[in-house]
Amino acid sequence: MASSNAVDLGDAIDLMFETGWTDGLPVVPPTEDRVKKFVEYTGRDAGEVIAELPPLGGKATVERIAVNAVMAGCLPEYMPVVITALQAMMDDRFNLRGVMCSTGIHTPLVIVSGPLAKELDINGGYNCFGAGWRANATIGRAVKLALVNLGGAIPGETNKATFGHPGAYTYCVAEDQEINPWEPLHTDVGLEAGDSAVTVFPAEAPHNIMYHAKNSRDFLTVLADTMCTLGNVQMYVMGDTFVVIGPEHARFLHEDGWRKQDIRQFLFEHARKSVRELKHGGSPQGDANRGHFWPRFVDANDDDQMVPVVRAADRIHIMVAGGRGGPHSVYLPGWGSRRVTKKIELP
Amino acid sequence: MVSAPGADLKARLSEMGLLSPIDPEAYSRWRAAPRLETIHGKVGGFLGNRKANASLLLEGVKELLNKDYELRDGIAVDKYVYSRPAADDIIDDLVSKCDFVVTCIAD
Repeated sequence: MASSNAVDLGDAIDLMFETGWTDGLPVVPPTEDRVKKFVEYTGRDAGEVIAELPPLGGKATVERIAVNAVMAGCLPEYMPVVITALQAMMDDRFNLRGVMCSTGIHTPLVIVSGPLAKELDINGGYNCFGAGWRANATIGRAVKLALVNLGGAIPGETNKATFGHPGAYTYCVAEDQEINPWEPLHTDVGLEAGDSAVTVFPAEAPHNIMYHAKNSRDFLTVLADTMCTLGNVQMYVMGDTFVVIGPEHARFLHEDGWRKQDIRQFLFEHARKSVRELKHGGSPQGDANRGHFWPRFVDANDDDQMVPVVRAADRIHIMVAGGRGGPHSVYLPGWGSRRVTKKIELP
Repeated sequence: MVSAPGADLKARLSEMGLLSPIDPEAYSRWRAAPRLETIHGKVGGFLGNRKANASLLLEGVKELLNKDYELRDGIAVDKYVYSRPAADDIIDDLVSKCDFVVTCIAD
């Protein structure tokens, strides 16, 4: 016979469905005592406004973020990551309003790098973009719930993503520094290697690149070819893009002497398509006379000109994650805005 | 929906001791622009999002409004980029020249 507590819990879950505040999955009922623990962990005032999330401009107070985090199934110690992610998304370069209201398939990705990723057991190894880790599942979900409940980016209403992808439920991953032969992702923006940081980026679903051999140039050639396909949003709207190099590929690249900046430069030079080929895809504005976002050095009137996948080499971001042994890396097309990295301040 | 709950739902949430993840005043902070009594003979602004389909749609709307309301003038302008709000200088220019503005988003 079900206990009265189980019945109450079931009733609470059903009631939360009635509110429309869930993502379609059951949520943990946000009781006052649970939320209080989350707020207390942050050391911040419950009423402190972290952000006014677009498009609605709802005030994301520490308490309201905590409610969404409880609903997502977080632990209190995840709060600094959730708060930092929302703060990073408010950076104008990220363009959160545009990211959340577009017809594109992308959704914000939260990447955690530095020691805190390991301390919180945020997965950056096998299945890091998949299932199985509470931290990945619930941190990403807390952020998404906040963007809908406080930001008003409601699927089908203000969020007009034609398809969306499963990352809209949760999209959070760690960079695995144990397998990363290079400097951590957050040092790209001048943070110290020993810092912990959140990087946010409007990412499509991961696109796999399988490469079995061990020739660095061949691998990077395959990677570059994957990055510049026709129909890839990147080729038309530019913006930042991400490459997640798997451990096996990272190992032989590093052994061959490739640094991150060398990889970026190679990809910038080789991930290109001709103006002639890109014309098949049409202008993103639907009218060839309306101009484009390509770099100035590309002459759009010359069909033989090669258009890079990004405007500059430093817009290609490289991180290392994934399970050992598999010959796989991943390409993450973006949407047109920029990656933003913010240091996590712990209580 | 993320709107504030009605009285019944609010009472049931309170009875269960459940807190709200939303900002209940968020919607009330937005107001529709004041409306003119008529647009007949007025100057209309037509603000596109820089995509060709938005311009097509606005052009059609402008023609219809001209036909039905004999607008004094119609000023068509695009934002700098579709993914961000119109810049202040564009808004200021429309405000200074137009009696009403129609906007459009189309991909």
